[in-house]
Amino acid sequence: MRNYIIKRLLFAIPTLLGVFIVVFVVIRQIPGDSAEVMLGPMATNEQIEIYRVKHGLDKPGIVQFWIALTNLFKGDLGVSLSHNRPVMSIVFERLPSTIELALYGIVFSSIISITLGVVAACFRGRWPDIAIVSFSTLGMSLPTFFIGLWVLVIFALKLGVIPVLSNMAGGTPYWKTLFGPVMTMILGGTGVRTTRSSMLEIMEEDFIRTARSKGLPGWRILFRHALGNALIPIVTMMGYGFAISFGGAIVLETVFVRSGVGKLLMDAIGSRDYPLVQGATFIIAIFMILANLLTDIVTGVVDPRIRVAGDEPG
Amino acid sequence: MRAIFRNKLIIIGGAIILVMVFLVAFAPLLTSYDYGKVDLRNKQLPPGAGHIMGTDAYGRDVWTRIVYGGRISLVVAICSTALALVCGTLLGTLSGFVRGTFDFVLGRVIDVMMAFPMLLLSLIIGIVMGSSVRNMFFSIGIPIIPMFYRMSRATTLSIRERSFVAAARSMGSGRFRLIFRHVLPNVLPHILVILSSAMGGAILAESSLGFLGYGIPIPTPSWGLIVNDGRNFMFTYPWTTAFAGAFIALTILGFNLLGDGLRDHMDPKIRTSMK
Repeated sequence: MRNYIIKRLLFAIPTLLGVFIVVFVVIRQIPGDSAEVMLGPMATNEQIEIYRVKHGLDKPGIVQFWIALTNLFKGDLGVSLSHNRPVMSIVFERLPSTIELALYGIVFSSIISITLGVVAACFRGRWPDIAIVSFSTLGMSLPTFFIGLWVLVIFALKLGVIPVLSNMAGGTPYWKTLFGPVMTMILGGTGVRTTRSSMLEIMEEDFIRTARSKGLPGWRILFRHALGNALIPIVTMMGYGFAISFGGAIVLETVFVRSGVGKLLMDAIGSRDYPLVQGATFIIAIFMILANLLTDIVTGVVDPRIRVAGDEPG
Repeated sequence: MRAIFRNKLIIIGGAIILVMVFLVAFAPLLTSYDYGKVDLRNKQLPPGAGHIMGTDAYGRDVWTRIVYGGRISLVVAICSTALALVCGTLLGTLSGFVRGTFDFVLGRVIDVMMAFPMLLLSLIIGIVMGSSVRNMFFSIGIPIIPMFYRMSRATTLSIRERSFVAAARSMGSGRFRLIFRHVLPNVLPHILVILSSAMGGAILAESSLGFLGYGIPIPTPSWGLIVNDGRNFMFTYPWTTAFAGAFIALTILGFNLLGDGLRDHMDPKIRTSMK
């Protein structure tokens, strides 16, 4: 068990380093020098030169990389060009909003998905099943931004339940700022079919038949025996869903104008603030890696079969 | 009974995709408007007799833009998925077959790619390469590579242990022949199943990039771009975004249904869909 966790942690290190290298190298390939962007088209060559020296942009790439890497270990991701403040502090200011969104989103959408999935499995082949599966298939096919825009139109414009700009309106109750994006994640309907198929698979296992033949009540078999065992793929799905929602935050925060990391990243790309793009991308990737890692470890702890299979790297 | 229902998914999904392909292929016959023609006197007309899906903020006919835009969106989806399929499947099969250091290093590279949200990776590749239809193949295709890589690697790992591979090896088949004659043909059916959902993912990626304002450059209409055109008027005139979004969703639904149907067909044990 401990070996499994250690191995998983060790595997995350080269991934993190790789992510940093990719982000560092790739961001520098973006056409347009940040000096020119910051100083504007009127800047003289001399001014640009001074700026480049000041920010270390005149040094060879490998030296810049080494400086960035050593700074990274000191918790320094550089200074944002447009905010003129350390990238790290800006990103960490915005991070709670994104984590909050991802957590609430995954918790509420999981509760609803699992409930619907169990109901569908119970009514297998009958109309509640067909309705639930159809709606969740439809939800999964709708782009996030599309659902989000309609949630805004319906709940903000027509019903007036939530403010149009989630974060901006002061004095709005806390739940209202989260309602829109969380609703969007719920309507995306991701976990329903996983729950349903996982339940159906378990229901055909021998131990369910044994439980039935012992004369246990149906609800007890359903919740204790079936759902308990079906939970492993569901937990995995929730974990990966949490990881993915850091990517989804880019779209959700843009639609609902929430000042989280995703919105920060889009604004940074728009203003060509490369240190900030680099920092925000790196932090998002770290959270993806950590969330996946945690999911792997949790499922490994819960289900020994995965742990054995997980000895095979990759 | 089950078999019919299982086929139903393939039939419905396939039919939706065929209709879409038909619409975009015969776009010039289905409309008498020009997709780029600005007519400010007739802007934001609601759907009606003259313009069945109304006009956008520049008075352009939305139906025309959607059928022409579908050409770009579908071509981008096909080419980027093809790119990911070829790269991912070759590398994955090789990785699973050769194993050792090659597999290990490639596995870590794939880990790094998967550490980024797909949309973010697309966005950054797109910004670095610059926006054009051709670069879109890469910015959407590259993030899909891990999907094909992992599937083909996992399948190869089990196929290489099968006796017919050992038999071929004992008859003196070289590595190249083993991979291309014996392993790859057995990997491909599994790839086919995820191909459909990869196509759906590519359509989604194109439209999401368009929504964020980093899609295919103006004036080429693509579904993502049309959504973005209508986005600012969402509260006053939602028609443009609604129709474009509906086409995007319907196409993705078609690919998802087809994928589900194929998966059920391949592996009846996995119950992803209704039976």
